Amino acid sequence: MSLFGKTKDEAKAVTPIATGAQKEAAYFGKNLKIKGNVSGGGDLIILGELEGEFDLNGKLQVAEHASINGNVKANDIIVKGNIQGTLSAVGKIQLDAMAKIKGNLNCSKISVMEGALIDGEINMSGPSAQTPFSSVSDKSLQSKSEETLKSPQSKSDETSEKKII
Amino acid sequence: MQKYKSSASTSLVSRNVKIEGEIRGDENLHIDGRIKGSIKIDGNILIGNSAVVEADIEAAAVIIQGKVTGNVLAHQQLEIQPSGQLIGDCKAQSVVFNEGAVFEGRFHMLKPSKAAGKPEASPFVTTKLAAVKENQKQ
Repeated sequence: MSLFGKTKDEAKAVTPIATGAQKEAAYFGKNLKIKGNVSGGGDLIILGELEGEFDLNGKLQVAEHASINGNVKANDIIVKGNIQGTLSAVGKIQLDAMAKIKGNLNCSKISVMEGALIDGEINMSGPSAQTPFSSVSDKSLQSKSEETLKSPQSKSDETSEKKII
Repeated sequence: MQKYKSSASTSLVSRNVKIEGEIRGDENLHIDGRIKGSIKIDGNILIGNSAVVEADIEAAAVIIQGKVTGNVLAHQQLEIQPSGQLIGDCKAQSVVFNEGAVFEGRFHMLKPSKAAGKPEASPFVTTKLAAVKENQKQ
């Protein structure tokens, strides 16, 4: 912050830290209001207000007291604030206790803390979610069906044996 | 040296991030990504080397290291560093153009407001600009 008042050498010394690190998370402070579309890669932390579309190839964190009015797409979404709009995550959506969401959720993994408010539908159609879930249920169904199939047979076998005897 | 009003926190628009729209607020801003639209901020703006900004900018102080297309209003100081490029008109209370900086447009120097105190500009720059203005008039 004092960067702007310092001499050039000091300013130069400070800037490479921010520009050199490619993976540094973008950070929108709590007094910042953005109206429009935000897109791109990398992680993003929001403390302020945003009205518009989000399309991010990275992790999005919406802090407490932050608010988003619009649709959000990201790899992972962690919410502690308010969102009005559809949330779509390739990976997981994590809703903390303070989260308030008015809109639909699309994701492959979800974690909701006690206290989080959701007003909308949850669709978990991601490929990574379906495979383990469906495979487990299929196996359990198969084993059950095998048991049910076997048991009458065995019974009938016994009865037939008895009859023979 | 006058101390700029510095807001509590600095927001960062990192290299891979692109924003299209309006940015408003009371906050310092460090831009390394791409911005299209308008920026109006009560704090200071640093436009980094990798930044490409197509926007009208209003802020307390502006430092340009990247590319800016649009009009700039700096209530205090505008600085264009050697890697910086500004295409558009600008208004500022004081100005620093470093050698190598690119500037295409008009410059209007703001009168210092009493509340803001003395401007921080070096007398050398102001006299030089005054000379340039006189030449333009002639």
